[in-house]
Parts: sequence; C-alpha cells; structure tokens
Amino acid sequence: MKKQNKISISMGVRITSFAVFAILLTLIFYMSNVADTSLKNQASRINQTTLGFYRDNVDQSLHELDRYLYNFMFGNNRAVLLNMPCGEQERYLAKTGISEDLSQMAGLHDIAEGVLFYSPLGDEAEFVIRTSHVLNLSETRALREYVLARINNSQSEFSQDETKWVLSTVGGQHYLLHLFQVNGSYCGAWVSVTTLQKSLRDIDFAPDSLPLLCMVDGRVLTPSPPLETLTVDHESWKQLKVGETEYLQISTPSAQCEFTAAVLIPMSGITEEWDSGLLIVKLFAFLFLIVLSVFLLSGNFLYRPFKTLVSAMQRAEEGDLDIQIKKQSRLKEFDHVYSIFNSMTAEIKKLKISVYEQQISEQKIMRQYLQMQLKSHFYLNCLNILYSLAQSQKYELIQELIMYLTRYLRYLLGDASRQATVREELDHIRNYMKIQEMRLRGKVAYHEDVPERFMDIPILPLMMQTFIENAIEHSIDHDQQNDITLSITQGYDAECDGVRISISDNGPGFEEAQLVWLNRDETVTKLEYDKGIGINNIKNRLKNLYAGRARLYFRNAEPHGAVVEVWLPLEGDQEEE
Amino acid sequence: MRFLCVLCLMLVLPTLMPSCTPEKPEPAPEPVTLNVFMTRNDAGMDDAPLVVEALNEYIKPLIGARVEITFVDSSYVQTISQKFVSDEPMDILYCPRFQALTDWAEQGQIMPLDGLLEAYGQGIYGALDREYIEVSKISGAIYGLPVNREMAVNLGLEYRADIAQKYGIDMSGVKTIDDLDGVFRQVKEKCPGVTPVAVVRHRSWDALGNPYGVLMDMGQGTRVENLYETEEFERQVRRVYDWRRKGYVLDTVSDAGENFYYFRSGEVFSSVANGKPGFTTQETRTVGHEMGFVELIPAFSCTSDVKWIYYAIAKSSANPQKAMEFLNLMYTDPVVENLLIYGIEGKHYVFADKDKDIITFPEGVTADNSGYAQFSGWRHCNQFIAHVWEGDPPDIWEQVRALNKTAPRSKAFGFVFEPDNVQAEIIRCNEVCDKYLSGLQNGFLNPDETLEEFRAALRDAGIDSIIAEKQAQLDAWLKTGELH
Repeated sequence: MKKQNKISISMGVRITSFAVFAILLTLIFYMSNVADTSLKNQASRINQTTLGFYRDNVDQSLHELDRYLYNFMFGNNRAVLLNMPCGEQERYLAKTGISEDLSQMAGLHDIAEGVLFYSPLGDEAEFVIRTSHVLNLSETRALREYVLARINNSQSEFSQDETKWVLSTVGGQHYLLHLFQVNGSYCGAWVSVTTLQKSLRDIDFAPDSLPLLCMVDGRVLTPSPPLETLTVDHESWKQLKVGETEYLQISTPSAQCEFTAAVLIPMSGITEEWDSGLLIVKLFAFLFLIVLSVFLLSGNFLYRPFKTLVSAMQRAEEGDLDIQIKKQSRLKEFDHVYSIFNSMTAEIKKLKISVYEQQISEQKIMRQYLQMQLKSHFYLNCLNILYSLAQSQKYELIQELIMYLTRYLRYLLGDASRQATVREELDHIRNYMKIQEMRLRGKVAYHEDVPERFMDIPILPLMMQTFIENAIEHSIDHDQQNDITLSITQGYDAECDGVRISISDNGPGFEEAQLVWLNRDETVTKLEYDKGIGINNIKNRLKNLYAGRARLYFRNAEPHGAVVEVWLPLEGDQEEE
Repeated sequence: MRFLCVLCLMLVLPTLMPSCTPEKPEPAPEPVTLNVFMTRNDAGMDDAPLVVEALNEYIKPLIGARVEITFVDSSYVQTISQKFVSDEPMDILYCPRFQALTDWAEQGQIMPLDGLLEAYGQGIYGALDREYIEVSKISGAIYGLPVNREMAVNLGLEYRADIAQKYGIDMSGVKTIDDLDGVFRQVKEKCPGVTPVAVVRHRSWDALGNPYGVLMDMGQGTRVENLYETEEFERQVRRVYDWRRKGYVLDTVSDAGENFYYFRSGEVFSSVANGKPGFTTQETRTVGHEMGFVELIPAFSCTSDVKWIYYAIAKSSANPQKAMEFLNLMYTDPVVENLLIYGIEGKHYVFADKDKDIITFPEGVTADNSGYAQFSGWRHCNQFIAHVWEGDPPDIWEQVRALNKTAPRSKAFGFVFEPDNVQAEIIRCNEVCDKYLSGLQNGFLNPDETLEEFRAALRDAGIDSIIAEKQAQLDAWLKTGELH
C-alpha cells in the first residue's frame, strides 16, 4: 500500500476548490486585462484619429500658407524693386503694395497670426509686418527684432529653415515661425501657439482631458504647474501619471512644423464603465475567497465525519468492537452513517460472541464424544480379557484385573473436561499396562523413561494411553515380546520448542499406506480405518487444545517397530482461546 | 392576488372612460428659423449661444420665429460673399460699408425692402429718421436700413491721457491741427520709445461720393472744387511730411492696425480719430488705459456719414416677412437690443442705477472674463433704446440725437452723385491717386517733388470733367431741393 499516493477527501476538496478558484481568478483577471487593454486601444485609436485630423488640418493650413507665400515672393517685382536703389515714390508704392498683399494674406489665412516681409538690400532696409489677430504693437515689434536677429545671425545656414515651421519663443510667447529667402528678400509667417492650443482645446475630447502642444523634445509648451515636468514621447499611446491622476497619453508629431500635438485623457473616463464591472468582478473574487476560506477553515464539518468514521473503522479493525461513534454530525447523511456504523459494530460484536460460544460448546461436545468413544473401545477390550480369564478360571487374575479396571474406570469417570498431569496419566497407564500384561501375558513389556521434572506438566487426558493401546494392538499378532517404551524428553526442534513424548514399540511397525494417512494433516475424522478412530480423536483434541501448535509424528523404527511422537509446546499458553 | 386586481383595474379603467382624457391641443406650428449674420470683435463672446437662446425665448411668442446668429469674426464682407456662392441659407445680413451694400444689391444678393418695410416694418420709421433711409437708397430702392448712430462726424486727436500726465504734456491748449506740432515735439523729446502719432488723417470737406470734386469748409458752400488744388490740402500734406521727417509719425505701412493696437503697446502716444459722445469711455475700456480726446475739426454731416452700416435681407431668404418683423423688433424693442448689445442681465451686466438706466459689470466680471463683452452698440440697429453703460454720459443717446440734429450739415446732405457719365475719368484718377495720394497724405512723398506732379496727373486724367459733372448734378439736385 503506497500511502503517499493517497489523498484524503479534505485534501481533495481543498485542492479542487483552490484549483477552481485559481482558474476562475486567472480567467477573471485575464478577461479584465483584455478588456482594459482593448478599451485603452480603442480610446487611443479614436483620439489618435482626432488628433491626427487636427494635426493634418494644421499641417495643411500651414502648407497652403507656405504656397501662398512662395507664390507671392516668386517673381514679385515689388520685392525686387525694394531690394535695389530706386526713387522714393517707387519705393513707397512697392512697399504699400507689399503691405496690402501681406494684409490680404493675413486675412485669408485664419491660422496665420501675421505675415512679414523683409528686404535688406535697398536704399533702406524695409520690414513690413501685417497681422490679423495681434492686439498689441509691442508684440509685433518684438517679433520683428527676433526675426531680424535670426536672419542676421544665421545667414549661412538659413536655407535649412525653408521647409520647416520652427518653434520660436519671443517675449515669453511661443510661435511657429517659417522664414524663407527669395532673391535676397525674406518672407515669412508666424502662427501663435496660443491660437493652436485654443483650437486644440476646442476639439471635443473626453471630459477633463488635457490637450497639449509640445516641443520636439517632448516638453509641454506653456505648461500649467503639474505638467511642467512632463515629457511627451511619440509612442502611439502610453499610460502615465500626472500629479494624482492617471492619464492615457496620445501624441502625434507634425510633419510641417516643430511641434507635437498630444492629449492626456484621464484613465477614469476611459475605463469608467469597465471599472464598475471590474469592481463587481473584484467583489465577486473577494466574496469567493471569503467563502472558500470559511469553507476550508470551518469546512471540517464536511470532512471531519470522514475522519471520525475512518478512525472508528480502524479501531474496529484492530478489534475494538466496543467502539461507538458518539459525535453528532450536522450533516444528516453522516448522522445516518454513524448510526449504521454503530449498529453494525454492535451486531458484529454480538455475532462474534455467539460464534465463539458456539465453537466452545461444539468442542465440549466433541471431547465428550471422544471420551465416550475411548471408553467404549476399552470396555470392549477389557470384556474380552475378562471373558478369556473367566474361561481359564483364573479368578485371582480376574480379581486383579477388575481392581485395575475399577481404578481405570474411576480415573476415566473423573471430570471429562479436566486437565490431567503427566503423573496422573502415567499412574493410569501403569494401571492399564497391568491390565494389558494380564491379558497378553508375556507378550508386552512396559518401560517408562520420564524425568521427574516433566511429572507436573498438564497433558491431554488419555492421549498417551491411546498410543499405548495402539502399540499393544500392533503386538497382538506378534510372536516376540513387544517392548513398549514411553519417554518424555525436552525437545529442541525448529518447529516445536517443547516437550517430546515418544511412545515406541518393536513390533512390525506401520504399513506404508497407513503411515501416509496418519501423517496427513487431516482434521476431519475419518472412519474408514477402525484403528484410526482413536488417533483421529487425538489429532482433533490436540488441535483444539493447542491451537494447532502441537505436533504428531508417526514413523517406523529400525529394524522394526512403530514410533509415535507428540510434541507439545512448553509455554503455559495452551489454555483455550 | 390583491395586487393583480388593482393592476387589472388600472388597465381597464382608462378604456372604460375614454371621455375623461383631455383633448390634446393643436401643436403650435414649428417656428421659422432666421439665419442672421453679424460681426463680432475680439472681446469675450463665449456666451453668445446663451444670449441667442435668451433672445429666441423672447421673440418666439412675438413673431413666431427664432434666429440663428452667425458672428463672423474677420473679413466680414469677404466671408459673406463666399456664403452667397455656397448657397448657405441667409435671411438677415449686417453690412459694414455702403459700398458692399451697393455691390450686393447690384449682384442681386439682397432684396429691395420698400414693400416689406411698409407692411411689417412700420416701427422702423418711428425709430429711424426717414431721411437717412432715403439717402441710402440704391437706384431708387431701399436695399439696406441704416442704424441709429452718430450721423455727424468730427475729427480729433485721441491720446494716451496717462502718458500725457506722466510726462507732463499739456493737451488743454490744443484746439486745431496747427497746435499738434508742439505736442508731438514734446512727446518726442520727453517720452523715450514713444512715437508721437500713428494715424494722421484730415477731413474738413464733403467729398460728395468720391474725392474728385468736393465742397470745402465742411460743405458749407455749393461750389465744387478740386481738393488737391486747395491750399488746405497742400498745408496738410506738407505738415505730415514734415512730421514724418521729424520722426513723429509711425510707419503704418510697415505695421498697421486699429488705433487700440497702437495704444495698447504704450509705444504710441496719439492717433487721429473721429470722436462722438462717450468716445473716451469707450476707448478707455477698449485700450485698458486712460484715454483722452481733443477735437480738431467740429462735427458736420455729409451724406457719406450716414452711408456706413446697414442691415439687409438676403434675396435667398425663405421668410422675408419674418426677417422684416425681426428687423422691426431690433429697431423698436429694447429687450432685443439690450440682449444683442450687452448680453444677459445678471450674467453680463447688472443695473448700477435703474432709474437712469445705467448698467455695469456684475460683481467679479470684467471685460476680460465676461462671456459677452462686445459693447458695439453702433453696430446694432438702434442703440438709442438700449441701456447706458456706467461711465458713459447718462444722457449719451440724447447727446447723439442732439448732435445728429444740430451738427452743421453739408449743403449737399442727401445728394448722391451718379458717376456713370465720367466713369472713365474716375478710373484714370483712381490710378493717379493710387500712385500719389496715400504717399502724400501720409508724408512719405516729398510734396516739393510730387505734389505738382500729382496735380498735373489728375488734370491729365480728366479730374476737371468729373468736377464739372458733379457741379452740374449738384446744381440740379439743389434746385429740386428748393422746389420741395
């Protein structure tokens, strides 16, 4: 029986519930994770599209403005004129013409806060600037200074500016500025980041979203306090924390200019609906956990009955049939099982006792019967002797025999179930042998070799006499004197550690077939061999008395003669079970 | 079981007594929506939808229509022209220039209003002087309704009073244009980084529709003269040239804007402007600094001063009658005008003095954070029936009315020059003026070199023919006027 492979019901219940719980929990969290991710993906996709639309819109407007500016500049005679020496009136007309064109351009392109023109090479450097939204002359003047400084400082690398709108900061204000040079004149336009921010804010993002414009390096333009340290990168979306709030950040860089449009959408808005679902899921998981642990901890009530039952059964198996389950289970079924068990053990006990009693009475009956058998057998023999003595009119011998017989019978009439000692048995055998010697005059001789220390050993009554009787039977038709020897020795043997009673004669011995039959371990009394009746009785009695530990051997001696050996266990445990 | 019985009863009862259910009233006809186009300025306008909602709440029971107002923020005429092309539904149009009104009328984008006015706009005649409507006729028909505002215009110098005070520049002695040179010199000397003047304009004549042939002296004569040959013109041109040489004048070609654009920066001291009652309060509010104004040329009234802002009805209007009814409300109903001009009471303004009808910002509201801080009464049909903003003269509308009545009128007031006979000359003169006029007027061109050239060019272009034609038409008009 491999104990480690067996699991108890309680273990099984625990493992199964844990497994179910774990699977369920994993599934729940996996599902919630999937839902969460897909929600975020969806939100990011939608907002990315919106943001992309905004960016494309800005890019397209700027691109259009660029085209206008290029068209305006290329082949513009006024610009050419202003860039070379000419008359006052021509200059003035060229300048007002350019000013009007710029004004028109600024008006036509809503996105442009202003457009500018600069010609450095004429009689005088001319700087024309026209705005559509600017409300303060100082702002345009600052911008003019900035543009002049840039043109003067970066003559050599200026052409690089031609394709991109550059983020510029003038007087604390952020602008996207695009300057380019055509034939020595400069033209440009600028867009206020504030205006872009405003139009970005006008987009209908989720409530509490933070639309942001960022520099190329990711820093937020004109950040409000919590956003100062924020750096937006160009991942399609990511989750980040600003202050205390979790946001989903979505960004898209502009192709035309140096800015990135981004929006921070509060996570709470995105996962709002799912959060309530998740709460229920979490609550469910939590409740499940509680129920499970309560079940596992106090779940004793389910598997304790098993334990009780199992331990009770074990004890019953060990022989304690007095075991009664006194506990009460809260489970009806177990209460029922308990009561059945209790009545069953009681029943078993009752059965066992009655079986035992029956056995004992059976044995008693058998012994009485055996004794009866023995008696009748002997009487027949004795009557035969008496008859022959009477024939030969040897009255003294008859008297003598009757006296022995009386003794013999007195011995026999003692309590049938009594235990005899070796001494008593030997006295009886001697008495008996006197009878036999009288009967078979000169034909048998009895020898006794029994040390004093065996005299008080309890012994099966009349057993030895039976074998002596057999020996005498064997000698009857024999010519020689039959010497019957009874000896008791201490026997040391692998099988039997005890007393060896040996009864031997020098008669013809057993027939082979007879030996085989005698040595067979037959418990059933067989009546085929008349002579065997006594021996079978002995066998059965020994078996009963010594619980099968006594041994009986039949053999022939050399050169002839029969030997019967009885091995009795020496321990004082031959009491009946 | 009891519940079921109750339920059954509830279900059965209504069917048992159909006579108990009240007759449903006939649904009111869906109100007509009028699409109104107006302009706006950069000041607070976020609450415009609320204002329009309140307006609709009010006018729906009155005229059975609601309005949807589009506030166009820049390039108004251009935007509206685009909308004509795109067939957008339009009913009522604000028009910021008479020229635009004429163009729209000629293009057939707006409808004559004479019949509508008679039928549904009688209130307008009560609110608006009939002569202003007459003057605004195009080819004999009324295409636009002028608004009630100052119809006489003066000319003066608007200046930063705070800068004047800071640097001790005395403006009390300034009476005429000739006094300005001293002021500008002081500013140039005393105020570092401040340009004395931005815009220099001059007008003391009635241009009679175009500047070729004018009535000098505020239109008090009847002789049509060549403006550019006059001594007054030459004096002005030389004066401005001199100022520019001295660096008194801002280069408004390089960098141009409205007056407030210059004033807000603090880098410009003054600018020529047309004054009117409440002008300094209005300008102080707009600029955000204390403004002052000195009159240089007193107010007088020409036909062109009337022909400025109009309201018209689009030809495509599906409901011209309702449009006229709404126009009628705008001219006559103070609730409508107050909503449009000042917004919602309690939210955008509160009464400072209910008896005098003076209003101001509610607690905590300023021009910067107000959701409706347009303050442009002069753009609306009849500001005379609206409240008065605190700080303005309490009788401001009386003053304007008085000004309109008492200001000297040009002899040619009401005269409209028909240029058809001299169209070619006008075009040629326009070309000449494009070349010289603004350069001379703004002091960019040296009058010694170009003034005579300019005069000769105009003569070559046929300015005299125009003047002759104008004189003839004026004489004829004056004669019929006398007949009346």
